[in-house]
Amino acid sequence: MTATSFHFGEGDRTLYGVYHAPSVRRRRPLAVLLLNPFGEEAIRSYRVQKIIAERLAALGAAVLRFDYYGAGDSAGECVETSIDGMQTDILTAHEELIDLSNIRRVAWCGLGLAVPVALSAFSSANVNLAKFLGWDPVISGSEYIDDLTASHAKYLADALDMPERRIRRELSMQLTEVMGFGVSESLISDVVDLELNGSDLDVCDDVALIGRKSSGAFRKLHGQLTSTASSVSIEFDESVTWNSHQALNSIIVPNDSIAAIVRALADGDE
Amino acid sequence: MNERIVQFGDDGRLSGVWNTQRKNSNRPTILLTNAGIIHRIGAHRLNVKLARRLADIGFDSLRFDLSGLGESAPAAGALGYERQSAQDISAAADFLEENGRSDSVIGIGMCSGADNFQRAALADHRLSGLVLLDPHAFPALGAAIENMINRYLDPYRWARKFSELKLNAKTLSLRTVRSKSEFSEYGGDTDEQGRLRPPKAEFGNELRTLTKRGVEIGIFYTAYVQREITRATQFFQTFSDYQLEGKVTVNVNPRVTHTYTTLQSQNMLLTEIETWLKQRFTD
Repeated sequence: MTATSFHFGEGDRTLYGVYHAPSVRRRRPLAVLLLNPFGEEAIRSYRVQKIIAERLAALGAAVLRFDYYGAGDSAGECVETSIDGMQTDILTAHEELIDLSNIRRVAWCGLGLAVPVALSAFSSANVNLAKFLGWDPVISGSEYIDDLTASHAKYLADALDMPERRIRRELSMQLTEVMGFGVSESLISDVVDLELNGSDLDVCDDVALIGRKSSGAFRKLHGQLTSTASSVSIEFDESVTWNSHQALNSIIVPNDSIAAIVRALADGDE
Repeated sequence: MNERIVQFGDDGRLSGVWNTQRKNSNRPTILLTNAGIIHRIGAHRLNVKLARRLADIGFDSLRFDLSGLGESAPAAGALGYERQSAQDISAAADFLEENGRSDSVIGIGMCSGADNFQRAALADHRLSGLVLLDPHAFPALGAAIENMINRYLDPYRWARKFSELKLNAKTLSLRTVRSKSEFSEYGGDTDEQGRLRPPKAEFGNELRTLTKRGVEIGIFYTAYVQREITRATQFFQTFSDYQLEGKVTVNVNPRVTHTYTTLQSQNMLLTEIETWLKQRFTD
């Protein structure tokens, strides 16, 4: 198995990607596009995404993970991130994965904000998906922004021994950054408008969701999905999460979720 | 974007992004690597921001993952983390030299990244400059007094400490057990954050050795070590026996986080590093 880092994309929108070639011994007709969450969350989930990619490649799938414009090793500044831009990048990466693997049976696996963004990218483009998996999806954009703001304030309060209330008050006046990354007014506005419903997930015959039992919104989305015969929803309640402050510098990963994701994408293998 | 993805080291095991403009090939190249186990883009993508900002003032850079981290494959041998990290840094300098760049490099590292560059510089004389972001800090009397006064005067801290009393008691006892049982043979201790710290004499001697060799050293401390140090002068008092004053620059900013979380603190750091480099490594 080999992983190859490369640049792709058009014009100045240079993207950084890593292609995991499928294991020759177990090659299966499936190409998986891994979709990062936003900002700091992409850093926290880096190792998790890499492990998923390696396990899927070992099971014979071709896998591409990449950084959006303004993220990771790709060109651009984070403050230039937009929902439209992320959608463009997802579709560019989709084509790149097909070119690299020569496989047209493609699955998308999105994490966090990537889930609603990928679903809207799907609806705006002529794409055929074999599978769609959403992990810890952002269901309500406004709640997501509130969560990011709270996380940012708590982190600063802890690190600087400052009152969290004061930081939250300052952030509520003008949200220009979250957890070390600049955000534009238009991005915040677009994210706030995101609202994920069960019907949005009607993108292919094989849809899976993985989320937290503790999330009321996830339980609701799960309820909407169960009426769709072809959809599967898996719930986890893990003490190890991909998105905690501790996860940033910990070698421990949420192995149950990873195993479930790999199983769902690799037709039961793991 | 003047960035190339490169593989180097044994069997091309190490992965990096070389930001090269070929304008000032006689200038030292900046090396940037992992902070803890965060991949090479750095905390809050700080390494990418640094690389691109420094490219604007004519410094090439190579940001890369150490063995077993990020996109780099694990080492085949069994050198251990510290020696392997130093060897990886030397492999980065080898790569640059083989590609016609100056044999002089500058390491910019955060936390364990700072420790790695400091260690590497002792063995590899091609490291001519070090920017150490929160390297080890050692308790200074002035900081203890300042912190005590601040604690007594700040009502918020009283409320917060009271609410966390139970948690703190538990955490402290765990730290004590860890430092006594695991690190006693090492001769060092752990700092307030539980990070393994070498003996003060070892740290001071290492910096003295490097400065005597002419290595430029800039140290930037944050709130992460505010229990140990709150002002630059305290550093020189702590290391008064090591002749570091005037040879090492020290900047202490207790209002920024360990990873420079706010954009304002990131911009400030980039400007300070840019100025520091310009003053020492440009004509």
